[in-house]
Amino acid sequence: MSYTIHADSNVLILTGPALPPDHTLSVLLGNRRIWTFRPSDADTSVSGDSLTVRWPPALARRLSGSAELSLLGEGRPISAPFKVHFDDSDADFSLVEPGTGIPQVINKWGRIARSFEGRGTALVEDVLDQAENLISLVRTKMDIDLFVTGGTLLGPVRDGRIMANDDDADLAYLSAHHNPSDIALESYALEKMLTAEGYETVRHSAGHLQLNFPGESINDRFYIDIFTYFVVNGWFYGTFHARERASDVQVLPLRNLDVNGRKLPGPAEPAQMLAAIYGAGWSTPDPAFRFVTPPAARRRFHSWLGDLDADRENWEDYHRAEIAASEGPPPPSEWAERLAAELTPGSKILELGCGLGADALCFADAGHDVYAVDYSRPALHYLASRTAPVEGSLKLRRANLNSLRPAADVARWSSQGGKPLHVYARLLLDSLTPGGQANTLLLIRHVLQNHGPGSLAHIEINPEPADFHDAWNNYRHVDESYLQKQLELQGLHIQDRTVQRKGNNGQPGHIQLSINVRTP
Amino acid sequence: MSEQSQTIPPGVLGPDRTGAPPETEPSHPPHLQALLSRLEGLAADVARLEARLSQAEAESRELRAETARLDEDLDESRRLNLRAAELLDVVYTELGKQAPRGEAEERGNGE
Repeated sequence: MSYTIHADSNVLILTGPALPPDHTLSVLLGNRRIWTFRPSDADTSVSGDSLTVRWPPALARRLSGSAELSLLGEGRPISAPFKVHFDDSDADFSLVEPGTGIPQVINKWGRIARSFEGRGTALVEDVLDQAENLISLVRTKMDIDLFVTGGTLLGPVRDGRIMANDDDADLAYLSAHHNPSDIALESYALEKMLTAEGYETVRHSAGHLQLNFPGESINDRFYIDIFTYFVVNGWFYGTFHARERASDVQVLPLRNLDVNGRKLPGPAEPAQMLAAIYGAGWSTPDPAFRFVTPPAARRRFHSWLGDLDADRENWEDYHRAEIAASEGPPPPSEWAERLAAELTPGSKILELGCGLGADALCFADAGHDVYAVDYSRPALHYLASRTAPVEGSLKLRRANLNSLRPAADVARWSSQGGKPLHVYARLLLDSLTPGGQANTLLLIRHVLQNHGPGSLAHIEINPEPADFHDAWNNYRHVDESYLQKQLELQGLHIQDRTVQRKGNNGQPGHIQLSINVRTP
Repeated sequence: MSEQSQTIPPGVLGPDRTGAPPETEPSHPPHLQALLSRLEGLAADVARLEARLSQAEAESRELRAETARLDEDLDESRRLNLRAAELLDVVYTELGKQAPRGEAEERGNGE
């Protein structure tokens, strides 16, 4: 079969014989495999003998410049290579990680991820060294038995060793508890132990903890996931995807498996576990494999364990790209400059969602004492490495406000000192989940109350729909009436409001609403 | 019903509302008379079934609405379960931080 191909920054169009929906297609850009998919799993439409495939949103926003494009069907060329121009840029298209230059691909979640094809064995050995250390530490400190799962189980069982394209190590433990609250508390205790031991942890949900290596860096070298598996009401739950009858997935007693020449603990019945995670066809390699979580499982995982990530990874990627492209510090917003000048020197400011810290530094340089919070690790690392403020002070805290626990921690951390507090949250609520918005407004109420008269919150939102980041999961406008209702629920009052239209180069732009909020 | 009204003479399934002058009732052969009687019975059955169907549809709508409400309650209950765990964790963490100070104060008071 041979196809005529058209491509632009939005779509790929194949014209030719009809393709079976389960046909595996691979897109090569610049002679490198970028995306492998099945038409049935992609966003497609058919018109006559043309199949239109919309690029995954995460990839679409990265398509710039030009590249040689070719297409493989079931691993064989089905089109002649041709040059595609995604936009007016003269640059060659390149999908690499900002900062490190590590090649990237679209992974099985539809996200941009590192490609480990052709990587050296040293990295795999480092990952397995750390996995072994973790298994030993968690057993000693918490009497919890970790075992290999996911890709770290699939590769050794199916292929005899870790898969070439795996980008992490997957570990899990079977919780001794059967109530989701107890299961969450157990995982929180594990997180605290690991943090105390010096690991850098990121919590994705109450049942999914990620450890980053080397930690405290703008770019991670690799990471290890620790999933909580549990049984509730006779059902086995393998966070954050599998849900099977408990009788169909025997986890205990653990048994040693050969993983690249090491003996690592695995589940009692690896085939059952792999079927639960990857489906009955787990033993056949599938380059176009995508996780499709059954709705009944998704609903339970989401409400029992939460979903704290929202756009954290998108923000971290965005900040890495900004840091890599930066020729100097980003300019502060006009609002921050105005506020910095209006406030009495030495004012105390808590900035929630500081990003790369342009506004936080502006406040500190104007002589204010600034507490800056964000959940983006590269942004905070970058900000910490910047020159210290001349006049005021700048303290940093990593906190994911989508979770109540870190929000409470921020309240305690920022409650030192008795003077009035100014909370500054610019376009933060737009990035949070509804639960995160509630956590944040609750946090704001408490810190304003704790700091007494004169304390104010300065909040900016985009109140109208706009095409900002269509590839992102959660970033969206905040309806003003919804915000007013949420503020009322927290007993917060709007003192005044300003509406501005922000446009660039004479374009209409979008509306931003700035409000000052106080307690009664 | 519309299909039946095209095939059954006016007046058989209810009052004739066509406005046409009443026709003299023709005499039907016994087998046709029996058939017409049967049809009248069937029409009543259909009307009863239609009423029951309408009632069942309404009940189904109510049950779907109730299921959706219970689903929301269930999700909210599960979400609150997680919230309870988060709050418990905050409380335990804060109590853990205060414990050494409390013990020191007790020792201080005792001395």
